[in-house]
Amino acid sequence: MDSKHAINPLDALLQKGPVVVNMGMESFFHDLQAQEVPVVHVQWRPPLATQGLLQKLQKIGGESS
Amino acid sequence: MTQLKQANQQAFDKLQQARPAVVGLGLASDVVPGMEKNMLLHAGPPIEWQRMSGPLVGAVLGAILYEGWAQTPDEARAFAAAGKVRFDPCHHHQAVGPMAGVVSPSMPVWILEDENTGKKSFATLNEGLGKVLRMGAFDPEVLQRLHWMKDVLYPVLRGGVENYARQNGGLNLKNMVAQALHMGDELHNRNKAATSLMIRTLAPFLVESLEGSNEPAATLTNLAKVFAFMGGNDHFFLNPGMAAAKLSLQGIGHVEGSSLVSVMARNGTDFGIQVAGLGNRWFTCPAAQPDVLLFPGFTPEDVNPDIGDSAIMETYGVGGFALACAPAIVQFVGGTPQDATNYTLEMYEICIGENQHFTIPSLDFRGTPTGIDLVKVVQTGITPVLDTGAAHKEPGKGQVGAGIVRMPSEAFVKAAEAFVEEYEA
Repeated sequence: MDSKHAINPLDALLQKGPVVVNMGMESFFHDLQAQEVPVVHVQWRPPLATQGLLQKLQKIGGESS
Repeated sequence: MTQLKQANQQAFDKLQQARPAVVGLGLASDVVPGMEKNMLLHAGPPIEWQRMSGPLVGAVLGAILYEGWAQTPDEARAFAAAGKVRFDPCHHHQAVGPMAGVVSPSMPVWILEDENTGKKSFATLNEGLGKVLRMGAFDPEVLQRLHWMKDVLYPVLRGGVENYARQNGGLNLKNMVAQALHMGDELHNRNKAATSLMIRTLAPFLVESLEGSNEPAATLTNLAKVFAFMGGNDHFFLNPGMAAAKLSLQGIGHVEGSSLVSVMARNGTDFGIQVAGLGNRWFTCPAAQPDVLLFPGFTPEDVNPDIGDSAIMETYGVGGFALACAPAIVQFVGGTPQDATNYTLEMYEICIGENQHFTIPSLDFRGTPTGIDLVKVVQTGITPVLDTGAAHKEPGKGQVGAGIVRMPSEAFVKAAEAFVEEYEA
């Protein structure tokens, strides 16, 4: 195919508009929703504990870290 | 199965097997273990007078006046400041108290017994909403109501409960909680169905108990007032419900190796938790600020940080964890019915199981999320969510609204560090 006529994925994205996957901060999801931007929200929070503490808890629980 | 999973399963099974029942009523000084003459019990982890929040100070002043240890609020404040009151958490005495949770020696309390173990728990009688002692109010109207509760409500209710227990054994609150969940309660901020079930169950025994009673307060007129009081207070079930939760969780208070949370409680200054595998050690941090749907006339600045032992309901697997059962509650605590369902779904992420007795009709009768696992909390970053009452930050003002509050993370991290220290080797 002639490279001149190849579809640039970025162009397609800009022509169709983005579909957003939002993780964590729910207010970002609501802001986009208010502007009628297609968006799905994923409930996610960072772990509370440090990596070291998490590994020790995993070890007690018999999980491989 | 690993040792941790085995220990957690053991704790979970104990929690499920408990059979809390009301067996009577008594005065705190007579029945609450370790209750001393100059003692006031309070909600949450231990706290000294100087650090108490406004609503807890208000409830302490009210209790001092109620007991007659002082005649005016100023005298009551001086009495407490002089160290003449011994303060201790309700949880150290097999008791629980909503909001400020103050229990004084001559207050009447529910007596609950686990039919399997014979262990007991205790809670005061609920006063209603608004300007009440547990919200930090202590004006004459509050004290007058407390005296009526002791002089009329207590003896009349005791007669009916004892009459019921003689004929049927203890009043099974676990069944009542299970039924109320199917009737739109979540059992923390909505107890309308459970209260109605309790009144319906006790009514004939209350009436019957008047006959031949030697109790001077046991008159037909007083019984009508007792029915009106209970029927006019949708939260009447909350206190015995909390005692049922406490009694069930007492069984997991000392399960070696378990990371299940056995207590969550707040005193308006600090939030504290206890963990099954760590015994009765408290892990504390500053209490959270609730997101409140305010009563008219109040502002967000009026709201005191989170307070009360009522977090025992979520620790038990109801309350905020069963919000999907109670779509109507959003009119009281804010949000939408979908929010209520989402909160319940989120809590499954931090619990080790689903309740065998408490089910959620709208989720195809799935069991409520039960057994908060400390490890899951710190791994997921999800902390327990509660729907709670909110008190004014100044003593004497009472309730300002109700809302949603997420438990602060710091106490869970501290407990996780202690858990590792205890069980790493």
